[in-house]
Amino acid sequence: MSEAVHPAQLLFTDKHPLTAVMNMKFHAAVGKTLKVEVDAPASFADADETYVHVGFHTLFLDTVMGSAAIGELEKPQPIATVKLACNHLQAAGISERIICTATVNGEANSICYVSGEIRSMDTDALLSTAIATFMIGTASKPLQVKS
Amino acid sequence: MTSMLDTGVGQWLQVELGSEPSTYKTHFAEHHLGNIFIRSLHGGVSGSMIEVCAEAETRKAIGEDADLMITSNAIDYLRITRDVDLHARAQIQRISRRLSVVDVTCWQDDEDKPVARGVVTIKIQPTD
Repeated sequence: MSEAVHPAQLLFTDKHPLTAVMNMKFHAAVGKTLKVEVDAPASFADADETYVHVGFHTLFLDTVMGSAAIGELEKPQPIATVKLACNHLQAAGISERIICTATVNGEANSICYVSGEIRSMDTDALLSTAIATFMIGTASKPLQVKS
Repeated sequence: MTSMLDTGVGQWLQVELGSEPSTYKTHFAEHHLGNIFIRSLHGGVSGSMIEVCAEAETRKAIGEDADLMITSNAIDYLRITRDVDLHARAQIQRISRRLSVVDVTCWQDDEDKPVARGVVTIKIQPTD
């Protein structure tokens, strides 16, 4: 673990309305790989109230894979998810400590290609895998200001 | 309101049935934001919404007590979102004894201008 601050941490601070409640712990990036820990939140409980809904895995994967993409930028600029595909093997238990590992596989034509996975920190069991593509440098204008 | 939408994730998303059959609506909340500077929704919020709607639509078809496991999704993000409600329409493409495959399209202001679309595959566990 390092004291280095990942660029994505400047966006996903405790002031961010989503990540403020996630108690995310960033590991220092190693090469093109970023790891982030989190407690699977009870607020995402599935019907049985034992496991989180895998929708949380999707959200967590998108967050960490996007963060890995941000870490590869030469200058700060917005990114946007273009495509996300996830496979879910099993859901995390509520409050289970899980870790997402995201690796930037390459960049071409302003598109960043990232792969990721979520594992249980306790058992190392594979919970989800994903691939995603992110557009680097979005228009950054919401629909309401477009003509 | 179906029981699926009353779960923790349903409440976090603030999702409810829409005004038309097979439609759903997520009420915007601050914790749905991804890019706080342009106030767009987090891509994972749209992704979760697509999965929850696909599961709810499958439960509607085969029963609320069905033992389901979402096994995969593939989501295309089509337009930038903003800080307003998100709507979805789910359509089951194929449902068998073991699998349900559901297409979900999301929009905000205009259904003809979708912001995301996805296909979700759900494993239906045997009930013996």
